[in-house]
Amino acid sequence: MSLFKKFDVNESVSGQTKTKSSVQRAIRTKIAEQYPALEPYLDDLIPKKSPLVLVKCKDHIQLLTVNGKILFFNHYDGPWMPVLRLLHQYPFMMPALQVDRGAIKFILSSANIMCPGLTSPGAWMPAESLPAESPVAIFAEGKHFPLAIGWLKMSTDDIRKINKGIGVDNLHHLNDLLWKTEELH
Amino acid sequence: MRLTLISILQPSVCTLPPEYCEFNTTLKKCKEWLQKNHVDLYNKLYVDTVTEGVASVALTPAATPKDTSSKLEKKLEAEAEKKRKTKVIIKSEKRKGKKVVTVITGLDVFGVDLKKASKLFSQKFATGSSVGKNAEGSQEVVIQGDVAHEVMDLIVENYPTVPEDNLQIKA
Repeated sequence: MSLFKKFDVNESVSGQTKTKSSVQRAIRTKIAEQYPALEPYLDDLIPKKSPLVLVKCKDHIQLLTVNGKILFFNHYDGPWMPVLRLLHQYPFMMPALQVDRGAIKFILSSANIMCPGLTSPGAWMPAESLPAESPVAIFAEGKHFPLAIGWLKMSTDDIRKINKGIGVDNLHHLNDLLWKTEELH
Repeated sequence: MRLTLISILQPSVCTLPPEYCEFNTTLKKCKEWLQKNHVDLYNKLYVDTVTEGVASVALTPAATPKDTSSKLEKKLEAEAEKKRKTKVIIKSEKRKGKKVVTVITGLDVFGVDLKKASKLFSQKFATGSSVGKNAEGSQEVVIQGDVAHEVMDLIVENYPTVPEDNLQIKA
């Protein structure tokens, strides 16, 4: 279920702090490690001079913002995941899965992604296996832009094999309340 | 070498990338917007699909815009109605002794950024001003000092989205 089914800037945000430069460096290296493809662009995203703001929200959600723009989020101190607007700019930054057309509607109303939606003819998964619990971008059949960001519940091999139940946890999707919150101040 | 970034359209209607509009309730409005502003993309998305017949499926969701659009209209109407009905109430309240504060409720309905508004007020009147919640759970701006009439002029001047008739001063 989407983390951002309920999210209101006035209510969910419990505090904003400018990070110390050491913390900023730690976050930066962590993101660079996680998304090596993004590394060349990190300087543009998080300029060394401008302050990186850590926004703490309800339900153990944290957001990273630079100049009021939300860039990344995480849950329970897990890996940082890009916001969809960021992913649209750098779609190559994380491993991608593709769902079939029929699944789009449900994903947009924040359902989790079921295995059959990832194994049917319109869907696509990378040939190499992705382990469970890795963040993935969800693309859709016939569409250009990713529509959701998720968290693998089982490895892609298992998705192929078992083909039943929830394959990817839908964390953030188009038109959820995080998408609608473009800027934070 | 830097890869060039994919330029991203930001539709004013639903903010989704246009290709996802068909899954949204505002499809009709989005289509109009796209046709007006980005004809080439409109043709690509909504016209070519028919002639090619490849993804005539793409148009099936369009078969049901009737009920969804009326739902949307209702929603918009309800919003407008709410705006018509809500009064921005400016009230002077007594605090300890001869101290008075001015309380403004209902501004948030008209899309006013309350934090910015309170900053503006405190600068204009050289007093403290804060945003808080009242007993009913709606948000209010509290200004120190009795500035009810002045603040009314200021709201009229600075926030055109708030109709003057909806402003009300209560003693």
